Amino acid sequence: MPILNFSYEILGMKRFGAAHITNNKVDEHQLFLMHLHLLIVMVKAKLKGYPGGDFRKKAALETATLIFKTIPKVNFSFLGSRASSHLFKERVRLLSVMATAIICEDYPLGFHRREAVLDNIEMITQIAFPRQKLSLFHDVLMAA
Amino acid sequence: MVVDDDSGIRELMVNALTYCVNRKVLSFETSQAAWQYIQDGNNADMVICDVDMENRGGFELMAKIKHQSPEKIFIIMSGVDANEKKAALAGADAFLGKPFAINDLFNLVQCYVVD
Repeated sequence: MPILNFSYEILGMKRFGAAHITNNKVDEHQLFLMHLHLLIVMVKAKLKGYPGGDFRKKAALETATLIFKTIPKVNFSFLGSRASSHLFKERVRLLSVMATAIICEDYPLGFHRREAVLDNIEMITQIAFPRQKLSLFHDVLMAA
Repeated sequence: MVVDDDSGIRELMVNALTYCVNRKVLSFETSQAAWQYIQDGNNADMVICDVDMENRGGFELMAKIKHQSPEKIFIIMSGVDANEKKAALAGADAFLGKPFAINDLFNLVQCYVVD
């Protein structure tokens, strides 16, 4: 009987990423969504009070800037009819500005500002990641 | 250290990993440039290297680094199924199948940096 789901872990190699690959390339839409996912994690981590630091700030600033600059070039029709393209673009643009302000520039966060950020993240998540859990990796965020 | 000839992937991985580990993450377009950096006396605790690059060299880079420092973590990244077996037989610590997700990068850090 053939061995199904053979794992190379017996050779000491762990496996991450796509389960089944057939010459898969990361296309520009996937790349944009990964940057967006990363930015959402960064903002949520900041709101939850995880430690920052210069490198984390720099990474957040670069991610926010990249997203801000990329938005006009992205055709969001790949998200289907889940959203008005214009409104979604504006929400993502707003998130990049919010991220820069609260992570990189340390502008103060009050209750209403925090709620506005969380609402925006919720709306973006529903449209761009409807079936995906955008987890915060507690140990990773605490360890650095 | 990230080695990939795709600037978009490189940029994403550097941002994500810099954020995760909160320290400098270097990136190189070619495996030759990465090897030169190490030959110049510099260090890298972990290497994530694409092996689908036009000039190849990813597996050779792993062989050289593992020969010099077997304890270094070397992760092969590929969008080609056959490279998983090749990576395992060549002694890679992990295989990152493309396309990957941000959570996969966090899992990598969890596995090789935190744990």
